[in-house]
Amino acid sequence: MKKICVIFLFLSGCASHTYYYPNIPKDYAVSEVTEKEKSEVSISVEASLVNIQQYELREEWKKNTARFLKEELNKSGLFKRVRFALPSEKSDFHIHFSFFEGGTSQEDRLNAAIIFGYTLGAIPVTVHNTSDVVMTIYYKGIEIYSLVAPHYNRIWIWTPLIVFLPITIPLNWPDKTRYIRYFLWQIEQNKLYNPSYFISQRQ
Amino acid sequence: MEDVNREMKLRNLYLIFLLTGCQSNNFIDWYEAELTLTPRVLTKTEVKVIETLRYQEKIKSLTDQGYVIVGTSMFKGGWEPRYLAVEAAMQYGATVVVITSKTVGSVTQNYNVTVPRENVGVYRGSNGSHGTFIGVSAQNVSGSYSFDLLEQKATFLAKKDNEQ
Repeated sequence: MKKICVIFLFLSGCASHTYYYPNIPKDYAVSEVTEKEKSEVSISVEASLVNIQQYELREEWKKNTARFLKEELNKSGLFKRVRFALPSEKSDFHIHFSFFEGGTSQEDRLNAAIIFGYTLGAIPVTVHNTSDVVMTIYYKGIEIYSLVAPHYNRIWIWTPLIVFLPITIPLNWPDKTRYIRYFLWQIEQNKLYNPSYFISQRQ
Repeated sequence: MEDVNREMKLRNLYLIFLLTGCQSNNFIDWYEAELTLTPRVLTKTEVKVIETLRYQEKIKSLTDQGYVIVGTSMFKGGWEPRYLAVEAAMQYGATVVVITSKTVGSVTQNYNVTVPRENVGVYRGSNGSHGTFIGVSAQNVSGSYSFDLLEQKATFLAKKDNEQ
């Protein structure tokens, strides 16, 4: 039993987390939209990734993120069809996602890793990540709506923090894909899946 | 269970403020107040951040909807994480932050970190004796990264009923 406990503690890591992310109502579920209300939408993705300097890795990151977004928007049932498009070749109804990933600099991350590794976790180190996702909705080439989903998390790594793990990591530890639910919630609330309706409501 | 989760979230929020207390926040450092609002406790869900290229139009549309400008921030630098704008908004009682940014250049930063390197070697004596030795020396790891330099403008707004 003791062995299992020790293994569990080591598998869970020696870290403590603090975070910030945009909240959505707990009971939120995308509601049904009639086929008549749905529209076809094109999407594009661009990213500024300070901590990923290699071109191949950046492209891989963008590709995976774009696929993920397309899948999630399709799954939401709010749109008739979702397809990729270059920002210069966007359709009448277009959603552009810009990602700004940042946080602790590479130099400081390296320093933290060295300190932690060589002292076997005796000296606490900390790194933080920030991620801002900007969703901009265009209709007939004009920006009609935009919103930011900011995300932040800080990780403290120190061996004695093992004991605080159950307190500092709640069960609903946010994953970085949470922003898409925040955007879908806003799209639905503002009836942005039907841009002409959205515009007519504002006039 | 819900109460426990809520308490945990609150605790984490306090911790963020505690931990970010010594971190600079350009939205606060360059803040210029237009008016002071009645202190009100805002939750992070109440603050909406809008990033737009149609900055003036967006502000006008919000003021037409009954919002008032609480203050503004303007600065040049790397991308300022937008959770810091939420923090600033909560401090000044604003519920909407409209931000615009324009790239004006890029900056390349070089770094050089000294790391320990272990040296292991084998020696052979002239009389046929041999053995190994272990030592530690320093090694430099260098690299560089670049980021865009941006002009960033933010306007903090709140509903008129919150005005003092």
